[in-house]
Amino acid sequence: MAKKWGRRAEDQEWFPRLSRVEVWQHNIVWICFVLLVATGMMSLIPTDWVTALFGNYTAQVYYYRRVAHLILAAILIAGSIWHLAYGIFTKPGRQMLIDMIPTLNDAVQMKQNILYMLGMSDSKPKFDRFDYREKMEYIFGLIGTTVICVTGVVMTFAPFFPRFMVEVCGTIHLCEATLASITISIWHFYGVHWKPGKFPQDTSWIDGLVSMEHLKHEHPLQWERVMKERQMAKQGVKDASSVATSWGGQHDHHNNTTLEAGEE
Amino acid sequence: MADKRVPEAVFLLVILYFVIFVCLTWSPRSARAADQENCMLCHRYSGLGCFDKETGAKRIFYVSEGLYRNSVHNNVLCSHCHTDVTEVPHKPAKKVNCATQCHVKDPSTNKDFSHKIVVDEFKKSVHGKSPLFTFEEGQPRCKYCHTNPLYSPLRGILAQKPGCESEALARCVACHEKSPWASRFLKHFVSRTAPRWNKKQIVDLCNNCHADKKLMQNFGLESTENFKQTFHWRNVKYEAENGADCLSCHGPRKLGFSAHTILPVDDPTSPLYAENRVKTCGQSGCHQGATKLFASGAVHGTGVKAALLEKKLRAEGEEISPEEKKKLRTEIDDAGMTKLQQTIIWGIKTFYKVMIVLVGGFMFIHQLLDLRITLKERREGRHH
Repeated sequence: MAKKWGRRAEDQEWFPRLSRVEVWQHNIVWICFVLLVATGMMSLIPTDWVTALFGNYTAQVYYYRRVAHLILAAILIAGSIWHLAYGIFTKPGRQMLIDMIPTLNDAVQMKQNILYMLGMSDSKPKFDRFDYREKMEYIFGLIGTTVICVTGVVMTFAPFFPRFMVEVCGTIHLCEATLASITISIWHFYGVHWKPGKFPQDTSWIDGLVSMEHLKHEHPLQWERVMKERQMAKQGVKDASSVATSWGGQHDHHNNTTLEAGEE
Repeated sequence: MADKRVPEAVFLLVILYFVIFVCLTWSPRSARAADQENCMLCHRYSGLGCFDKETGAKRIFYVSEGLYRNSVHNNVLCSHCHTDVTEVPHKPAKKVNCATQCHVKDPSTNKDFSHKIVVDEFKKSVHGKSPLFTFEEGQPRCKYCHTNPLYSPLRGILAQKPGCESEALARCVACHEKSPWASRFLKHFVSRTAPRWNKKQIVDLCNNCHADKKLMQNFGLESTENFKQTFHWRNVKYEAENGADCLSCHGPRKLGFSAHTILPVDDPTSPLYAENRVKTCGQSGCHQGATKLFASGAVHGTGVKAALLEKKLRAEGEEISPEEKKKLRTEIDDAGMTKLQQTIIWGIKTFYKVMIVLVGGFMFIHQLLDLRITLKERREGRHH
């Protein structure tokens, strides 16, 4: 079973949700994102204010703002490429991508959940490894990152592109950044920080583990698969992962990726 | 106690009297110069003035002697410029022609002094040539730029008063006995060693007219609003030493031009004529070693000027037809985009605005509902 960290509550079991690779990919993305938003949005602050603040160093501040933005962007692009490669070339990565594919069932569950939240239905939909909220966020994230990276590259190498194209990319870059900042601060921050029970944070971003309670409550289908798998293992089925109702390969993936990360 | 109050009150009154007396009678020292022509007989009254019959504008004929004596023309008699005034009282005076010869001697030639050389030079420039100007208001006259402010401070704001700093003057008078002469010399010297306008003021002065899109259209010119989007303006704004203002390129002193000799860009002798640009960009202190390609860049950044330049570059030196120029002027906005391009940008912005409202709004409401149900579940003990 998954490694339990010293500070984890011992009264319940902890299950892997993110592999070590995924934790690091998330770290790269969030650190870069926060700093990119800060350095990027700074260009919207009136120069006079910045001058009032930094005086004679204004020019240097603007220079390093740009340098920092470009370096962070390069790191983010590298991280995104790593993530893509991980999703294509590794087994757990592929499994994650497959689990992320939106299906018709997600739309049905979304409708059910909204009805449940509105109090118009008593049955709460049973979510699998990734619920519609997480899928939505991941897919928006993929599209957004692609858009922002491409437009950013065009802006960086502006002399090589037609003037109007740079203008269009600049507009999209700014708008996309605004959209991303707003949605992240509403959607993602609520889900993992502000939601009662989660505050101040869902610690899975640190060690990739979630509590049994969390799994049971928020991903019941996955939980059921895990339990079934264990039962089968008890009954003597040797290769649990070969069972069709394996829990999305999550458990095994964790071991695999841990190994992989160790080999790197 | 009561008897003591009377002398105190008298004492205070005496002081007050002296203060008022000094305030009322004080005037700058050098204002005591003689009014040889006795013009101040009438013109010293501050109420002297009338409403112009044609324009209805208020005209003030009051002359502050103190200020005049400290102005650059302090040594010039009234009649030297107002040549049509020969008797007192006089008829409405004509506008002064700055090319008039006055009776001041130019010490370098010992001839009667005149601004004629500058006026002639100016008449050849784009601002002095009349064919461009269909109405007089559009033409800048001498006084438009030469406002000759009297309060050019020599030592910070607090020391501002007409004329020169007495301390500085005292250093002159130590050897040059006649103080009016020393004062004049010092004033002249000080005012000529530095440009009267700083770079920012020059840009604002030019932009007063040239950034006015409608006014410029009357002359078939592009507005220069977008200069403030350029790096040159940044340099000017943050007071960089070599920051390029309008005159740095349109009338570069280092290349023998000045504000009086600004020429249209398509004049072969203009510093901004295609062939001369390399030299203008490469003037000392600027882009030394500039190449032809560098010098053909769009300096005003965006807008019609930039679009015209770009077209010209693509056409490899071929002239653009006036019709095409006109089309560009009507089609292109300050950011240098055509109407179609503007629509595309508008479309993108609108799309994102709608997305932000829809997606952000949906997310906000969704999470709010989730908060409500989560709190409810926790109350009922259904949640971990």
